[in-house]
Amino acid sequence: MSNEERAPILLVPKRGSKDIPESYPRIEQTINPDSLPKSDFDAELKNIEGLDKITNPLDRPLPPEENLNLAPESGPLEPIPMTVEQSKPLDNPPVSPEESGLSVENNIPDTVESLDEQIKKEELLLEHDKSQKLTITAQGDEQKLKDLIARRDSLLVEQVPKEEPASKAQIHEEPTPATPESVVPVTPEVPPAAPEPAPTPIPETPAPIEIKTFAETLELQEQAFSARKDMLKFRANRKIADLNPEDLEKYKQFREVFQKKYEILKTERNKLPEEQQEDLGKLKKLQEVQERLVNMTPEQIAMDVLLISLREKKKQLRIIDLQIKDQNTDEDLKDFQKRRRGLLIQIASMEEELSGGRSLQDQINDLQGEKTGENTTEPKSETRQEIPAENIESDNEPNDDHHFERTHAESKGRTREELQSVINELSKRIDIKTQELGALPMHRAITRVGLHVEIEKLSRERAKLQAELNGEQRRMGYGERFKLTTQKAYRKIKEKIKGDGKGSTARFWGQRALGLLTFGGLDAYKANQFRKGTKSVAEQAGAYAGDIEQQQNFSSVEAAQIDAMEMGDTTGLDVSAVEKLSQEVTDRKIKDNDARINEIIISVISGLEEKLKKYKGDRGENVLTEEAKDKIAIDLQNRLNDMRYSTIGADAKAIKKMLRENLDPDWWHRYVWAGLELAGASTIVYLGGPLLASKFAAMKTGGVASKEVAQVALKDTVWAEAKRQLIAHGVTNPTSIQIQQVTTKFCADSGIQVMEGGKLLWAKTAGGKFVDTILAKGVAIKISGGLKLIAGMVP
Amino acid sequence: MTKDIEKLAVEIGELLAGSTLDKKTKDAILENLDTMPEDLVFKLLDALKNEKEQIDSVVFDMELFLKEQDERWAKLEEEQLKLASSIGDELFEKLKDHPVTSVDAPKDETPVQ
Repeated sequence: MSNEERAPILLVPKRGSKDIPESYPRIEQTINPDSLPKSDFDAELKNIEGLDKITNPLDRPLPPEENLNLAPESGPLEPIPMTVEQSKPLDNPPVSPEESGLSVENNIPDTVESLDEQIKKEELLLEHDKSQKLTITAQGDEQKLKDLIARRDSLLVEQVPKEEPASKAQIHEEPTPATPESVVPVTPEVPPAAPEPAPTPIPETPAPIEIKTFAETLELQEQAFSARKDMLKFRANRKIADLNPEDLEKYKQFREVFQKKYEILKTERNKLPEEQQEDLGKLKKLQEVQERLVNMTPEQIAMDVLLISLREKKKQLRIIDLQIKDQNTDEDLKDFQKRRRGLLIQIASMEEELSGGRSLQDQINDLQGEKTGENTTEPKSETRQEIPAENIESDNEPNDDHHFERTHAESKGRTREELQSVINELSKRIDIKTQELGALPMHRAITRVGLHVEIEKLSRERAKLQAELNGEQRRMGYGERFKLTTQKAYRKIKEKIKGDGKGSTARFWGQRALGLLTFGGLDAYKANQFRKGTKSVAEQAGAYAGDIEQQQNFSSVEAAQIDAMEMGDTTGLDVSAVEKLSQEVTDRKIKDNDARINEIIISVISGLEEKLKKYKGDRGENVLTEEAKDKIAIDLQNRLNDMRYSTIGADAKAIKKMLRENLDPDWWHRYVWAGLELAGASTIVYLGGPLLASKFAAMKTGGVASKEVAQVALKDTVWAEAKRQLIAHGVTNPTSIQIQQVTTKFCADSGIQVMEGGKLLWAKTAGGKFVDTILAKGVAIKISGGLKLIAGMVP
Repeated sequence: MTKDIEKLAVEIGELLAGSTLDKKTKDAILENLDTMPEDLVFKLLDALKNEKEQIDSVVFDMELFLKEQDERWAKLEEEQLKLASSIGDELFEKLKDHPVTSVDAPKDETPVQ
């Protein structure tokens, strides 16, 4: 197979292929970009070397011509099998969505109004991109803006001429003298419609759901965080009263840009696999995102290449579908259908590659293993330039006065981690040796002695390191004075808050709003009420995560989730609570206005009374009787009340929008509380202390499983779940025996029989109803008993 | 304790006071700060700062909403007053010449918002 015949999918080398390069970077070298035909797709492939070049043109909806007109220059499409040549230009570009009056993104017909709205949003984005010097993104946005304006203009033009033919017809007809023929109403002869050829059945290609690659989503995260930073920077150290109307307007624009970018990020991120979503969730600062962008792994890049290729294929498929509709001759039709089949095969193959089968990482590892003769760890990407740390604007930079202390502290933390890691490794080896020793017959005395010596040596080494770690731990912390100073500052602020009452009106209502997220007010947030956050913490805090759960008396993350669900909505804002707050905020104004209306009515009636004093009725009575006054008052009240409906409506709309934007649970769970949990809860757990001691004791005696019904949904196998729980609860390197003990307990408690080859494998699970080999993903496993066992295993 | 570490202690104390963490967690942190690993102290600081930034955002936007709400209602009151005055004037015109006429407020074209 020549290079020209090779389809883009083969860019990712297969295991065992003769073309396997020596290392990942060589993957690119196997393709000579110059030998490839020129097309947008090929141009993008050539840009693999710089990830930014891959992702930048794709971090926005493609402009129409990029999106559909893949090959505008020359030459018909080559017949299948799919070759690189296939992306050659077409003589007859397909009908673009614009021509068909459909929007590219959602196939909804454009209207002038919708386009106006899109233009306005695009202008905002463009302004932001320019201010951020995001040149490539800005170019894309500019192009999109031009397209939108062109589309709107053409729509406007289309709408105007529709009326013209009628008026023109009138003008032409008027001077025509009436003839008898012309007077006689004649039914216009409509030529019989030519029988249209029966439409060729076109197989429906569903509009592909475009999934951004990890790198693209990461860039979206960078853009969202950057927009947020702009917004915060703009209003930093400024109060509402300091801002003039123009500034406020500008602030709103910053906010809108951020909201828009964040919404895009959220939508795209939610389409990614869960692991990648978690991965992105760990990046809570702009700087972290930027650093991550320059440290993409080869696997991620290779996946991205594959995804981009897949997307291109799907676009080609859509083009062919459109072309098929236009074909009249059987020959052309056959040709296109043949190509279509070829594309479908390639798409299916790519999708299989992406969703299952051998992972690209495996393939890359194989390649690297073949080159070096061993399995190597992931190398850093060579396709992206490292950004020197000093060039990245740190989120903490402006406020971080503790640079030296921070660096020193982090270095100490790393030393402890490394020591702990070596100790764990030694423990693991000692366990293995001990097991070997136990299995060795007594008569093999020499081997046994040798093992004894090895175990002894390893134990001594471990003890030495443990002593070193203990020494490190003894020196941990900033000491008593630090604690006392913190406590003093804490109390001072608390007293100040108490003294100030509820503080400013805005702060009062702001806190009420936060209460919507914290189930009833400040100081009410409990670290384990949110699954997402807790999971993230569990991963980051490693061994401490299990204990974090104990701090809150939750026997499992799932139990915590159940608890949270009982309290309210864990996935979004409680709609009724938002409604209630919105009503409260407006009610106080309505009350004020009621009082004002009363004042106005009294003033009007008194004024009227005063002016009518000199006027009398026929019998000398006062014109303004009490009855008349009541009638006027009621009438006025109704009229003035009616006037405020729109204001009440505007209030409700504005407050709900504000709350939705500011209290987005996704944002708070991912970027605020997850970090807080890690920092707060894990530190307590790390240190011990009275609270922890009591909890820990409870755990050891079985308090851990206070919720006997604690269950988890099976993600893969019971074995894997047991291992995860062990690690999460502090057994960092569980042995096979430990895993088996916990697995057996899980199975026994959940009524699962562990079988092999149709025979019962683990006697303790004999009473089970279900067989482990047929357990489906999602089956609930009772874990409380197993957790009790784990508690006894925690070193 | 250096000046810088003292400053760090004050910063953490103040941030913790305004945090949404539950009281039990706050107390536990405050009780164990003396021996808390230094790197975790900084993690705590970052997380608290981040949280404060979010809370400030909510308060700022709430303040902006309240300001705009005040403006909206002030404008409404102005319009209500205007309408009431014009109704009063019309009633006067009507009643002074026709004292036996009904005292219903004139159904003018004043738009009802």
